[in-house]
Amino acid sequence: MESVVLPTRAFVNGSYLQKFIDKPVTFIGSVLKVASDSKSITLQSTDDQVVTVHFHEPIDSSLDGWVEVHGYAKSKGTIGGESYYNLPSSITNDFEKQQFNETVALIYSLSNPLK
Amino acid sequence: MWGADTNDDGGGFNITMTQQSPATGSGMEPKQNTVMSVAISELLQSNEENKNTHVIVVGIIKQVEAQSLKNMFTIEDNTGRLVCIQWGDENELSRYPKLIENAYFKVVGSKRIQNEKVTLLCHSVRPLDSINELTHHLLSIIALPYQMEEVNMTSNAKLSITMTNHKEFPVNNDIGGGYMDSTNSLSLNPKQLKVYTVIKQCQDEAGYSASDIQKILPEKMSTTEIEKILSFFIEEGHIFSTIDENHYKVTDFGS
Repeated sequence: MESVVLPTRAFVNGSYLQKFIDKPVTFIGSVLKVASDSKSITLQSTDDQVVTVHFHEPIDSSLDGWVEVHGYAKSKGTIGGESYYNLPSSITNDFEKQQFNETVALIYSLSNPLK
Repeated sequence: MWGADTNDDGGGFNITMTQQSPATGSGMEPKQNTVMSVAISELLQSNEENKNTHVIVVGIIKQVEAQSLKNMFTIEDNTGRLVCIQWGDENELSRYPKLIENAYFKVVGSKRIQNEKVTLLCHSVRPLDSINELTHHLLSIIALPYQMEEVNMTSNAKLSITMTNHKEFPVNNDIGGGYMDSTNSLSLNPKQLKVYTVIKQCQDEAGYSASDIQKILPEKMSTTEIEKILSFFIEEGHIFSTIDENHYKVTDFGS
């Protein structure tokens, strides 16, 4: 176990994806559909856009609810996924999406350590 | 234990560090605790180890290693991965919230550097109650520089008031006026009297710290000497501490 600085991932929603093409991102969305080969999922972003995440390996096909995806922004609506984290309904049923969107906008309009 | 854990960190940070404002620069360590939200990279990029500063980290637990008398785990946010250590005997460890890999947790702790490696000594570790706490954490991090700026402006204003007061202080070599009478009754030696006079003249509710006093005193006095006089005053009940253990006001409000 060791503490390490990682290349900063950007918190994004649907509209900020295109500003981070080929850069590491963190994306939070709710599952709309898992593809039949289980290698990609369609998510609805916090700002109600549809984003597709492609993984190298098949993922849990019963994935449901909110998930956090770490990966690289590939285009306006696609992410190359590296890992995903299930966000249980116990912590997401009161998720204030609008607040999250405003926070994402603030992060990139101010100088701060999260950039 | 669980209840205590969830209550003690409340989420926000309070910028108490601000209160020792004019004291900075004199090399005096703030004794009070400060809690602030940080990105992990901020912790890893500085070599400072301030034991009085507690930090809040929100991230996903990646790896957990239970050992006897401690849990070690790594938590990851968007900027880095941090090794955390949670101490406790068997009993305590069993009562702590269970550490779950790949789940969001909030950790309050203080930074330690050992063999040039940064770890976090945990005071509170718990899973997020709501993902909104993540939003709150991000906002807290980006707000901090602005809050510090505001605080610095306020403390500069405070300092300039202090300096203005200073000119009006009858703390020159010839302490005169009726105001000596009240202090004389305390049987203070000349140095003690000067320090007492400065504290007594303070208009600020918060009182003065040793370094405030040092700045105001017309004659040079070492911080150690002032602190010695202050602890004498405390023992004798002439002064009391206010916003923290570094700021004092006189107990005698008469005259």
